[in-house]
Parts: sequence; structure tokens; C-alpha cells
Amino acid sequence: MESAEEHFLSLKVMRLTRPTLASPFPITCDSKDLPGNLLNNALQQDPTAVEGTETLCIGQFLLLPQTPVNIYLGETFSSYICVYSETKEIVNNVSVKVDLQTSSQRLSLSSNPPTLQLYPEKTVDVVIHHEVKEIGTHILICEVTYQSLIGTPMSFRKFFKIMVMKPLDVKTKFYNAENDDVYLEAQVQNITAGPICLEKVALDASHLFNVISLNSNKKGNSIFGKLTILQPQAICQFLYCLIPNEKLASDLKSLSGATNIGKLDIVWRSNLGERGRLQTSQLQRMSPEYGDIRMTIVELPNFVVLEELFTFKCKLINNCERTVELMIYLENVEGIAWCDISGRKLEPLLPMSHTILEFRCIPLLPGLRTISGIKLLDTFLKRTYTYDELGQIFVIVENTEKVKNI
Amino acid sequence: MSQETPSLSQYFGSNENIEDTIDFSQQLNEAAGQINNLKIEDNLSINKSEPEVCRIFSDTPPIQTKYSTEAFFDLIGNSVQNSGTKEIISNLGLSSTTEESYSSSRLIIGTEGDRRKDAWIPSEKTRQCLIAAATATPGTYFSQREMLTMPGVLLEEELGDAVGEAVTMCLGEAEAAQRRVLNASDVTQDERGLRELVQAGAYRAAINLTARLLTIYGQGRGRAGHPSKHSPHSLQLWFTRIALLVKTKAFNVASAEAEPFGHFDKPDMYFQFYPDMYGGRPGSMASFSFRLLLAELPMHCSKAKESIMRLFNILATIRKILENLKRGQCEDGNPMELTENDRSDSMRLWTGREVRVIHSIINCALVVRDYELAMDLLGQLCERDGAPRHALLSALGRLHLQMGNISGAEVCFKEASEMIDGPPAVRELVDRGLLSIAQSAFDEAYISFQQASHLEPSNVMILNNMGVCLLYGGHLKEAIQVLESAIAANPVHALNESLLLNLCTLYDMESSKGRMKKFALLRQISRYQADAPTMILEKLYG
Repeated sequence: MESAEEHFLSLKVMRLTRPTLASPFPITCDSKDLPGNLLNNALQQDPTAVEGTETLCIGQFLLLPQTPVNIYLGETFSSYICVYSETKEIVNNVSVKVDLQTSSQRLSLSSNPPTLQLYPEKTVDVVIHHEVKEIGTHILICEVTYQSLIGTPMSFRKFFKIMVMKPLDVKTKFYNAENDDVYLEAQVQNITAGPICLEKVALDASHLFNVISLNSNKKGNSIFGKLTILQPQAICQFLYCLIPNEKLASDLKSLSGATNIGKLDIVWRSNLGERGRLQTSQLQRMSPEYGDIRMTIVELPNFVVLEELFTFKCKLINNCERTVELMIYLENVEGIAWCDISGRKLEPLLPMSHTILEFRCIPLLPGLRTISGIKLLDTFLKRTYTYDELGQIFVIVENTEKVKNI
Repeated sequence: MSQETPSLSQYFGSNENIEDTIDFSQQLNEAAGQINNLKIEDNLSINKSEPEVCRIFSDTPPIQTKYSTEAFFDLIGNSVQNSGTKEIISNLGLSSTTEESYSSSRLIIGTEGDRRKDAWIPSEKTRQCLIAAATATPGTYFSQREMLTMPGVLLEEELGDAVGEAVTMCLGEAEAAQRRVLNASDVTQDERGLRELVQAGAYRAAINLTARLLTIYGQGRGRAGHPSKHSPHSLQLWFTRIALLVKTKAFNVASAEAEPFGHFDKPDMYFQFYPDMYGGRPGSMASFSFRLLLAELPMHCSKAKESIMRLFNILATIRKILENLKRGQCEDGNPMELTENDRSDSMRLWTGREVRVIHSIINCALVVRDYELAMDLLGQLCERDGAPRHALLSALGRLHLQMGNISGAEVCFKEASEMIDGPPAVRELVDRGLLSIAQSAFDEAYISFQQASHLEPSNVMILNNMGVCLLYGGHLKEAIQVLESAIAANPVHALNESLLLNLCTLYDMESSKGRMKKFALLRQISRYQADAPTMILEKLYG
């Protein structure tokens, strides 16, 4: 780097982070205390005190940033670049070029038209804003070019290093539910140095899914309260339910292949509204394995009464390219007796079609029972499909009224 | 005042530390004797038209209106601002009010106002000691050493004139010689002189004077850990000293010197401990302001959690006092009859103190950035009867801004502005400007501040905020101009720490000539200010 002293111009750069609100530290006394009202008067006359709430340190007085503040991915990097004429002569054709070198690319942040004549003690002021999209070292490169008094082109450059840090840690977990819904658990952790306020956390789902956010109550209020403040290291967990759209749900192959769920879009703010925005990369779920034949429960009561007949319905899907013929077997399960015929043949199921099966049972033992023991035999391939733990029912004694009263 | 058994005094008397206590009481008596002698000496030796230190012992109390006990913060914390605080405060005046509390004759029987303002509920252990002290035969009760408060000045040397030193260094001896500033020796060596220094803003000099005055009480340099006699006056000196140490940001010294006082719960911090002096008058010898100051002190030393704990402790006691009053008892729970007027005055005072402590807790929560706690408490304050809701909502809005919740801030500001008819006042315009800043709309913010400035052209805060907006908009020169004009128009107020920090930051941006401009600032400070924060001075010649 060349030394600026050899030049007619000097260059200074200041990062423009948000100002803070200054206030005096309130020391008050009783009129009977030794200092009388002197300290109170001093407090009232302090320009940083707010009239009417002098004893609260929530001021109105803007204080320029006094200490370096970290910059995080997704925030806007702003800087003031000031070129000042140190000479008594007029300097011609002054231009300031500001670039930002990241680990992968060089971005031009500003290249204003040159100032034709810069008078003594005058400045060329440039304010740049740039949303940072990469983590790691960035170099701000400011280049000043001008013409010396005899007309020879002169230039000098200054470099400023900026470290961009990661603000949030996002962890996701997927659950593929039996009914083809997908649940997404997203943990957002604040890994910045100060508290942040989450302004928006939304799942921009891929067009194959409809999203239901499960982060508000029935009245539509956020379950996190009026606002979501995250202290450093604190984690907030969001839950989303993704329902495959009808077209996708009817086509198991593409449903299985639909692993792209969407992106999380997060907007946060910190000191005096400093804004940051992050979008995750495409979130991927593990593709569910469906096979040729698939059976899922479509109707099942939660509560059933001991020794009273109940029914439930299953959807049987043929997911292969041929018509399948199936035998159904109902095996004995503890606590549940089947009221059906085991070993009967089902209607042939055409390719890519489905049918609804109804089952009738009688619960024999109270408590939580699992529906298991359904077997299907593909008579052509001689392959058996076993369906255990299809669903659960709670068997109660007598009737529900009494249970509720307990 | 109490019918408890005196057995505890026997316990203390027959303790195996008996030698210790006796030895110790002698010291105490000696100290007391010294004080008496000193007073006489002082009276004789100085003997100007003003009787010096003794004045506080000899003056008869001027007649007081009962409202004079109302503190500044009671007014700002607890009243709707229809009458304008400024007037009330100036009406309260200084005049002679301050002398009254430290007393009339040797034996001081507390007045109604004294009881009210000094009331406090000691811890159980301390209460037992006080009962023992009050019920023992005069002269037979001695406290254990660890139950005593033994403060002493720790600052080894008198504080110098920091501004003057900086001027000498940067601008030369000649410039420094022109500086006219009060120092501790220029004023009468008593509390009147002390107030004169405080009023002049010569806080360092005032700190020096407190050290001299405390020496009279045997609590000067090197006396920490030695027993000495306390009086409301000595504690007021300490309060002033520590308040000024905090004001000058000498937090470590303040905290070290405040340490012996603990939580003001040692028995010798109560009037009851001195039955022969105060005739059974109850209450805390340390004023409420002092108690609050010490509770806040740890937060300046990166121990904000401790402050929060102490402040909540104080709040709990205040609420107990209010409960006692509601039950028709005295503040400390004594079943003494109070007149209806006294009771309502007392309720008013202590409710005001309650609000003041809540303010302190909010401030402390902000230091540790516990925004939830701050918001919660501020919300509670808004709901109180007679609260200055407009000002509090505006503060709540700014709190939301500070943590980045823009929509929340908007709601608060809107609610605040709806409370007031007519065109927006200064506070509202400024809040609007701050909201624009949070939204990165610095030009709009500038317009709001400019509108506010039309209403109050001499308001330093508004000018400062305009300057800040100009910088973010890329107008460094204009920003500097606005701040400089603010100083030129009102140097005494505008030479404020925060404004100076802003201006120095701007000068730093503006080429190598910034240094000369900083020296010019230093010259201004030297002319108008008795004192300046070290941080600023370092910025100016750094």
C-alpha cells in the first residue's frame, strides 16, 4: 500500500453500523440529601436525558458507533468513504472506485462519475451498501485516481479487511408421516454476540407441497409471545406440516421422489433495526420407500369401548405396473379379536389404483392397543406383505362419558 | 418502642469476645471525642463569618413544608406530567432545606417527615441487635466488631484537574494558565462548599473535599476497617462522594469504598443503635438515595446480576412498607397510629420510591440486554394509576426499536401519540425520526428531527440527531457543521460526553486536520467545563 502522505488527497473509511441510543446514568437524590437537587438538575439538563423519563436509560440521543461491531452473513455492509483534499490547489478528475473482494469474486460497489474539480478542503463522499452473501474474509478496496497538477494520472489504494461471520445455525429434522404429510422441525439458533429479534421465519415450500405453519395458536398469535427475541446461543424451534398436493399424493413414485421440501426464509433485526436476512439452501428429506403394495390407515377411532365392535378403514394401493391379486390373512393379536374372514381373496387390483378395505374387530383388553397382524399374499409372486403396528386405539371400559368424568 | 426481652444484650455482653468489644468501645468513644474536639477546633481556627462544619450541628432547623420531602424522582416517576417537572423542581429549591435533616440539637427526635423518609425494615438479625441496643442500660451495649460499618477513604491522592492537564499537554502552559476552575480549597470546607463544587460541575474537586470532610469523622484516608462513629451527616458525605465517583466513572474506587457499607443492614446504620443520641427514633441513617446508589453500583463493575438481586431486595422491602401502611401501621410495621394525611403522604413517597427502583431494575436489565425483563417491567409501569403513560409508552417504543422490533415500536408510538391531541410534540417527532432510522430511512429521519428542531431550536439532542442523519446520508461536512453550531449556541449543555464522542468520530473521518479541530474542542471544554470524562479527553489528544 502506498502511503497517503505523498498524495494531495487523503482517504478515510468508516463502517456505518447503526447508531445507539445514549442516555446518562441516572443518579438522583432526595431534596433532603446533601447534594439537594444538584444531581437531579444535572440529570435533567443532560441533553441525553429524555424529559419525563430521566431515570430510565432509554434515550433518544443518537450516538455514532464507538466500538467495532461484527458483521454477519445476510446483513448489509455499509461504509462511509471520504476523500479529502489536503492541498491548496484544485485537484482534477478525482474518482473513487470501491470494490469488495470475497473469497470467490470481486464485486464493484461504487464507481461514481469523477469529480472534475475538487477544491481545497473539500471532500468526495461515497456511501456504499452491500448485502453480504458469503462467510469469511472480505477485502474492501478503495481506489482513488486523480490528475496531478501537471496532469499526470495519480492513484492510490487502501485495503480494509472485513470478517463476515455466521449469524444463525439452522438445524432441520424431517418426519414422513403415514398419511404422506411431511413434518419439518427447524431449530434456529442465534450464534451472534447479542440478542436478535426474529422478524420473520417462513418456509417457502416447493410447489409440490402446501405448508401449514404450526407456530401459532388458534387465535393466530405466535406461540412464542408477542415477539421472538433470541438471546445469544438461544434456540427457537419451528414446526411446519407439509401436505403433498393432490397430484403428487396420487402418484407414489413422484411422491417418493419429492425430496425437495423448500427453503427457510429468516429475517432478523438487532441493534436499532439493523436487518439481516438468510435463506437456507433447498432442504432435502429422505425419500420414503413405498414398494409395490402399500397399505395405510384412512379411518381409525381413537377410543373404542371394551367388547364392542368397531371398524376401521385402510387404503390399499397397487403401485406397480401389473394387476395384482391378493389374499388377506388376519392373524391373532393380543387383546383384539378380528370379526372378519381370514384367508379370503381380494378383488384384483388394477395397476396404479387403490381400494378401501374395511376391518371389523372387537377389543378384548382395555388400554392402548396396536393394530397389527394383517398379512397380504401376492399370489403371483408368492410374496407376503406384513402390516404390523398400522395404528393404535385406546380401549376403554364402559363408555366414554365415565372416562371423561374420572 | 419494643417490649422484647433484653436477653440478647446479655448474650452480646457475655460473649467471649469481651475484650474485643471493650477495647473497641473505647476506640469508639475516642473517635467520638475526637469529633467533638475537632468541631471546636474548627470553629475556633477557621472562624470566618460562616461557622463551618459545626453549622450542621448547631443550626436550628428551618420550618419545612411537608412536601419538601418529596423527591425529584417521585415527581417524575409517579405523576402525570401536567404541571411540568422543571417548575416543581426549581420550586423545591435548595435554599436551606438540606440542612434540616442533619439536625437540630444533640439529641435528635425525628419529625414526621424524618420517620417517613428514613423508614426501613432491617433484617431479622439486625432487628434483634437493635432491640438489644435500645433496651440495654445506657452505656452497657456493645456491638461485635463484625456488626459494625467501618468505611474509610481509599483514594490515596487528591484527584487532579484532568482537563487542565490535558490542556497543558496539548495546548501548552499558557493556555492552561487561563483556565479558571474551582478546586477543593477555593470553597468553604463544609457541605456548603461541597454543594458549590457540585453545582459548578467540579466533581473531582468535590470528591477531594469529601475526603477532607470525612477525615473529621475518622473515616478519611487509611481509616477503612477502623471503628468510627456514624451520623446522618457522615453518611451524606459518603453518599455524595460515591455518587460523584460514579458520575466521574471511577467505578472501581466507588465500589471499593462502598464495600464496608454492605447492604446497609448492619445495626450501626440505624438510628435505634444510638438510643442516647436519637432517643429511640427508628429508621435508616443512610438515605434511600444512598441505598439505591450502592445497589446499582455492581452493574458498573460488570456484576449486573448482583445489582438486579439487590434492587429486587429493595423493591421487596418497599412493597412490605407499602403493605404496612395499607394495614394502618407505620412503615416499619410498628402499630403506631398515623394521621390520614401522614399516611397518604407516606404512601405517596414510598410509591414513588417503588417506581424509582423499578426504573433502576429496568436500567440494569438493559445493561445485560435482558429485554424481556425490561419490557415486562415497563409494561407494568404503564398500567399503574397516575403513571405518565405518554412518556412511558414512548420509552417502551424506543426499547422495542433498540432490540429491533420495529412493528412493536410502531404500535407503542402510535398509542402514545393518540393520547395527545394536536400537532405532534418534540418527543413524538423525535421518536418518529428514530423509527425511520431503524428502517434505514435516514433522509426521512432527518426531516422528522428538523421538524422537532423548529419547535425547540436550542435542543442539543435534536441537533445532534440531525448531524448523525447527515453523516449516514453522506454529508460529513454538514454533519460537523450542525454539531459545531450546537456547541457554539449552547456550550455549557452541548459539551456533553456523547455529543463530543460523535464530533470526535466525525473529525477522525475528516483528514489530518481533525487533530487541530479536536484541540479547539478541548479549548472550549477548558473554558466551559470544570470536568470532563477521561475517555473524552483521551479521544481529544489521542
